[in-house]
Amino acid sequence: MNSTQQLSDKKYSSRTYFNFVLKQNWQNLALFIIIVILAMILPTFMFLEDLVRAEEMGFSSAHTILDEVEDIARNISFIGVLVSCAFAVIAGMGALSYVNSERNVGCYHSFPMKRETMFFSETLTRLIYYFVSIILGYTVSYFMVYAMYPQMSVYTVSYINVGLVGVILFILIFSVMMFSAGLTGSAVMRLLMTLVIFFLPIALYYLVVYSVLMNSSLEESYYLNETVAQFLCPIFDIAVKSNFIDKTGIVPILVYIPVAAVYYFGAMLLHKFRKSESSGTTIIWKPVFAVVKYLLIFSAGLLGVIIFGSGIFDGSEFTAYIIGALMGLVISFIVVNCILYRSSKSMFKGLKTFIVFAVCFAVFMVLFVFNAYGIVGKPYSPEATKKIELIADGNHITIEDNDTIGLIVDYINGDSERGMEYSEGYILPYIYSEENDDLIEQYYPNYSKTVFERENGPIQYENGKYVYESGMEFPTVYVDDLSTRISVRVLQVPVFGIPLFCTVRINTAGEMWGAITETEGYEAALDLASWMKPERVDNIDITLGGGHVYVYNHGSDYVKYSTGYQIPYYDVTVEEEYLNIEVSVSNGKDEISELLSMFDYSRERAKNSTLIGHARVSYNHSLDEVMYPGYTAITYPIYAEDIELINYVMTTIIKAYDHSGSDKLIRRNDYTSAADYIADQISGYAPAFLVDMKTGEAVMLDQSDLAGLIEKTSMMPEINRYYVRSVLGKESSDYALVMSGTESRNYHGSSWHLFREGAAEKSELDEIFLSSGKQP
Amino acid sequence: MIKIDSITKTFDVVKSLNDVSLVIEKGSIFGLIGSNGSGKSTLLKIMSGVYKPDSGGIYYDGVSVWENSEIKRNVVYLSDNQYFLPNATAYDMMRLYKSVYPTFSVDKFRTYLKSFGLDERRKLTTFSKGMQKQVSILLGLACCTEYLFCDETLDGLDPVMRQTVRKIIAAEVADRSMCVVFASHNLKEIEDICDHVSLLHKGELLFEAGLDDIKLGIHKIQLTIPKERQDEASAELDKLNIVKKEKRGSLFTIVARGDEEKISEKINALKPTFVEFIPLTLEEIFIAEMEERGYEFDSTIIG
Repeated sequence: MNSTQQLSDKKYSSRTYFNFVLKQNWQNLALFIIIVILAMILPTFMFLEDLVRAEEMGFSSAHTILDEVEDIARNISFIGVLVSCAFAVIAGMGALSYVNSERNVGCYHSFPMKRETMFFSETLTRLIYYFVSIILGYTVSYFMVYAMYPQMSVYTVSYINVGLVGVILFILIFSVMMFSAGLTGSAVMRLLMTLVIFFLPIALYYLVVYSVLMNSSLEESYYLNETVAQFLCPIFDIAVKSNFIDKTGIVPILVYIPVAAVYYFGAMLLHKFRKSESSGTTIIWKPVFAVVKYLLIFSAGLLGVIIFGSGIFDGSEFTAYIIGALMGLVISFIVVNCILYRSSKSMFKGLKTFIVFAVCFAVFMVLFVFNAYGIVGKPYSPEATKKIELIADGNHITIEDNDTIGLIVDYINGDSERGMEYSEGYILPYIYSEENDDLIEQYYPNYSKTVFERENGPIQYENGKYVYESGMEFPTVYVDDLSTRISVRVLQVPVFGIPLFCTVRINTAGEMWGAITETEGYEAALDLASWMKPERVDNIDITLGGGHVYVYNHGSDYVKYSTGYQIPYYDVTVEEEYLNIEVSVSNGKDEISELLSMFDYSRERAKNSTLIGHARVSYNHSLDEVMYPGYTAITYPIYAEDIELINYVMTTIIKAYDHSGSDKLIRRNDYTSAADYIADQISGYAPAFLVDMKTGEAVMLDQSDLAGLIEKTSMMPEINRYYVRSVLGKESSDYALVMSGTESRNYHGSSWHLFREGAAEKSELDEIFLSSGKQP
Repeated sequence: MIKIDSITKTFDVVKSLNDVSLVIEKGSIFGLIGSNGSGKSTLLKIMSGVYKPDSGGIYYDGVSVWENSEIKRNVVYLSDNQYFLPNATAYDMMRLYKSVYPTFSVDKFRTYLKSFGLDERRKLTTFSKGMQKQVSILLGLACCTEYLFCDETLDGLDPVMRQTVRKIIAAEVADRSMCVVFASHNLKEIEDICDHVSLLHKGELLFEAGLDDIKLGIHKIQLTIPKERQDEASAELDKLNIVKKEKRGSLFTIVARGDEEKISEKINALKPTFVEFIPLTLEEIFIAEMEERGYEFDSTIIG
C-alpha cells in the first residue's frame, strides 16, 4: 500500500465540511445577533423604561399595566416577525452565494463532495444562525419583561404564536430564496426571482382578470376576491391569517411548512442538477428564462392596457388600449432584456420572438380585452350548465332544472341591462314602516318606474320636500326598491369551465321570474331557516340604547364587541375617547343561533309596539363554495318588549365596559363632580324617554327630569358602573332610558341610553315614570 | 489512469470539445496545449467533475468522475483564476481544503508555505497575484491527491518560483506516482516539465504523444542547395512528409515528419552543400502543427 492509498483511505465525513461552514460564517451569526439586540432587546428595554416611568408618575393602574405589557408583548413579537423576514433575505442571499460566480463554482464543484452536502451545509448553517439569534431575541426580551412585570406570563401563548409566524415566514422566504438561487446565477436575480415567485402569480392573475373583465358585464369582484389573493400569494395569506392569531393560533398557516419543504427540496434538486457553466448568468435554466421574460412582458403589456384604458389618455378607448399595450410591451421588453442579459446592448435581443409574442398579445387583446367575438361573459349553453345560482330579492336560489336554466340563459343573452348596479341590502325597516307599508301596498308589485314617472312627471324639490309634478310626494324610500325589476346576481356554474358571475335585472312581474318562483330552489330559498344559518352569518350589527353591539364571523368562531358614545373613559395608551371594545370570543354558532332566534318581524307587531332599536344581520353568500364578498342584509326591528334580546345586547355592552375584569380604560379626568358629568351627559339629549320594558309604555323626560333621574340612579364617579351593576345579576329589570341626540351634539341620529334599575319594582324609577306625565 | 472517452461539450452554439478521447497514465506529467479557446480549460473542468459532458465520459480506473465524491477525493483542480474565500488567509483556505480533502496534509502545507516565505495569517487579498498562485499550488499539492490538474497555474510565477514549483511537483510525482495535468499555452513550461503532451485545436484533439516521441517524429532541417539544382531539389523535398517549408536564397528550412534516418538519406541524395538537423522546440512543433491545420498563427498568444 503506497502513501497515496493510505491518505485516501482516511475517513471522510460531510460533517467536517458542515462544521467548517458553520465556523467560517460566524460573521453571519454575529450580524443576526446584533440585529436582534438592536431590533428586539433594546426596544424591549425602552418600552419597559417608558412603562416604569409612567408607573412612577402614577399614570398607570394595575389594569393599564396589564394592557401595556400586552402591547410590549405584541410589539416585540411583531418586531421579531419583521426581523425573521429580514433574516430570511440576508440568509437567502448569503447561502450558496458561490453559485453566482463561475470561478467560485469551478472551485466548489471540483471538491469531493456531493452537491447535496454543499447545499445542506450552506442552508442548515443559516437555519442554525437564525434559530440561535431569534430564540435569543425572543427569550431575552420575554424574560426582561417578565422580570419586571410577571403579567407577561398572561401573553406567553400569544407571544410564542406570533414568534412562530415569524419562524414560518423565515422558513418559507428562505426556502423560496434557495429555490430562486437554484434558478438564477446572480445575487440580484436571486432576489428578483424570489419576488417573482411570491408576487407574479397574484399580479398576473389580477391583471388578466381586470383587463379581461373591464369591458365585460361580468363582475370583477367575484373573481378578484381575497380568497384568490390569499391562495396565490402565501405572504398575503400568512399576513391575513396572522391577524387572528390570538383566536386561531398558528394552525391555519402550518400548511406553509410543507410548502416551504417543497421549495427547499426543489432547491436542492435544482442545485444538484444545475450546470456549473451557467453560473454568472441571470437565469440559468433556459425554459425558465423564457417563461419569466415573457410573463413579465405580458404583465407589463396588460398593465399598460389597464392604465391607458382607465382614461389617462384623452382619445378613443381603442387607441388608448393600443398605445397602452405597445408602451407596456416595448418598454418591458427593453427593460427585461437589459436586466436578464445584463447589458443595454442586448435591449433588442430576441426581437423576432418578441414580435411573434406581440402578435399573440394582439390576438389576446382582440379576443378577450376587446371581446370582439363576445367570448368573455358569454353564457354557457343550458346543456353545458351544471346549475345556476341566483341572489335575488335577498334570497339565494339554486336552479337545477334544465327548462328554467334555459330560460335564464336566454334572458342573460338578451338582457340589455346587464351589469347594472346591484342593491346590496334588502332593507326591512322600509317595510315595517307603516308609511312605507302603504306605499308598498300601493306600488308593489305593479310598480314600473318608467310608467310611474310618465304618469307623475319629473321629480322636483319644493318646500323641503321632493314631489312629483303630479303633486305626489316622493316616498321616503327609493322608488327603485319598490320596482318590480330587481337586480339579480347570477352565478352560472358550468359542467366544465370557469363559473360566470354577472348581474341582470329581472322583472318580477314577468314570465321568467314566475318560472324561477316555481322552482324547488326558490321554494327552498324562501324557507329562511334553510339558508339563514349561523355559519352564513357574516355579522350582526345591533343598535340599541347607549351602545352598539357588533358580532362578526371569524372563520370557525365569532367575535363580539361593543361601541358606545357616552362612556367617559379613554385609553391612555392610544388617547382616543371612543373605543371599540372587544368583549369576548363567543362560543360560536350556538350563540349566533340563539341570537337569530330572537329576531322577529311581523307587521302586526310593528303597528302595536314601541320601536327602540334594530339589528342588521348580514349573510355571506358563498356561491358554489366560492367565497364571494357579497352579503344580503336583513334588518329586524327591536321592540321595547323584546326583553330577552335587550338583555343580550345590554349584557354585551355591560361586559364591554365592565372594568373589573380588565381595566383597559381609565376614567376621563375632565369631570370634577357628578354634576359636571350629569350636565354633560344630558346637555346633548332632548328628548329622553323612559320605557317600561314590561308593557312597552313610555314616558317623555325633559332635561330636568333626565338630570334628576341620573342623579338619583347614580353616584359619581361610578355612574356607568352603577348602570352596569343595576342590569347585571338582577332578577327583573323594568325600564329603558332612551335618549335621543340633538343636532348640536353631532351624534349620528339618535343616541340611546338604556338601563334598568334593580330588583325593587316600586322604586324611584317607578316614581319618576309615574310622575312624568308627558306621553311621547 | 484517466480515460477520456469521446467527450463532447457545447456551450450554447459553440462546440468547445468535439469527440475528444485520450488516456492519461498514472505517474505522468501531462501537458494540454492549445490555442486560446481550444477547450483546454473545459477539458480540465470536465476531468475534475466540474462540468458534465454532453456526451462521453471521464473514467478514473474505469469509474466515472461525474458526481462521484470517492473519485474526486483523489483529484484537485486548480483553475487559472483560483477562488479564495472572502477575506481569507492562507490558514482559512487550508481549513477549507482540509474540510473537503481527507488526505490534506497540514504539515506539508505549512512546510511549503514556510519555504515559500508566505505568511499563513496574512489576508490573501494583500498578496500579489504570483503569491496567490503560489498559495493555490501549495494547497493543491498539500491535498496529497493522486491527480492534480493545473489550468495555467504556473503563469504569473517568477522564474525562481516556477523552478521551485517544478521541482516540488517532480518530487511529488517521483514520491507517490502523482499524475499532474498542466493546461497551458506556455509551451516552454510544458516542454520543461511534461513527459506527455496533447494538442487541442478548436475542440478537437490533434495529437497526443510522449514528448520524446513527438520530437523524434518531427524534424527541422536546414540545407543549402546550389542554385541550378534548387527546382529539382524542391520537388524532391516535397515528396517528404513536409509540415513546413521555407526558402531563402539557397537555404531551405523544412520541418518534416518521419524517421530521421530516412529523411537524412533522402536529403543527402540531393547532395546539399550544407545540411543540419536542428532540434525542434515544443513551441515550434506547436506552431508547425497549427499552421499545417490552417491556424492563423499570431505570436502574441504564445507565452
